[in-house]
Amino acid sequence: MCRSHATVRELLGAVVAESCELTVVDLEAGLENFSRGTPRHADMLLIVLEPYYKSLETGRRVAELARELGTKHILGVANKVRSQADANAIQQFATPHGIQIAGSIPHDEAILDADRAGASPLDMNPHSPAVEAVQRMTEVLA
Amino acid sequence: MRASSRFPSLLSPAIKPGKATALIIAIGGKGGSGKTTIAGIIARTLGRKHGRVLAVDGDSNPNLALTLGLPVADLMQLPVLSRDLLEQVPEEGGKTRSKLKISTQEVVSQFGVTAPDNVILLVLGRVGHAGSG
Repeated sequence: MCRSHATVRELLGAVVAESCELTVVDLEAGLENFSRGTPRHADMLLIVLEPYYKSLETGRRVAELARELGTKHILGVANKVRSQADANAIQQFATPHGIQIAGSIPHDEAILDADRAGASPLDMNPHSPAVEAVQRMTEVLA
Repeated sequence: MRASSRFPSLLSPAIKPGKATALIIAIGGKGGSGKTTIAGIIARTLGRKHGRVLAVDGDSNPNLALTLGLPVADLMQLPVLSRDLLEQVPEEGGKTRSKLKISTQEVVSQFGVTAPDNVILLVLGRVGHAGSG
């Protein structure tokens, strides 16, 4: 018998509701997690935004749902940014939708290299631009 | 646009290094957006700074282990939480909700996997994982 997506979501909601330590949750893609109350218990939701419409639109809906559910801090992370035009596109979409951008992560081949190798970019290429940008952002967040 | 120095450190006052602190950061977005990569780097960065971090892989196709730096060979051996850990408890309005039968700390000690930089990984499930129903 296969585990259902619903079971994963139920477990996530229950674990997050009772965690009493510093916790980082990698959510399921899209909106599905939001039906199980995880965002209610999250202090901060970081929404990863790429500079194209479908990603931004998904991010907007995620932010809207999280806001309805009462997530305290909802922030965007601009990712795979190749140019100032990319950065502007994300910023111009996020601001009117009330999503503050916490950090901008450049497009970085080092991330793809790590993915291909099945390794952590932190171990393979710790000083690559994307890794350092995430670290700088994290430093400000907590 | 860069990681803005104007961005206020919203939660820093809540964190005291070395102490257990309930601060939950969830990372979402469209599939393929890079959220797992970002989640893994955030978790390890926080682990270096604060001494201990719980990283929860809530994706039904869990990959956070790789971004955290666990070997590929370990992936299929990762302990996955059992549905038996949940019980239904009544809520207001006649509804029920799922609750853990044991504490999160006990779940972490039974199912948590040690990853680099003081990170403990908890994998919630793998849809299609035989026998885990």
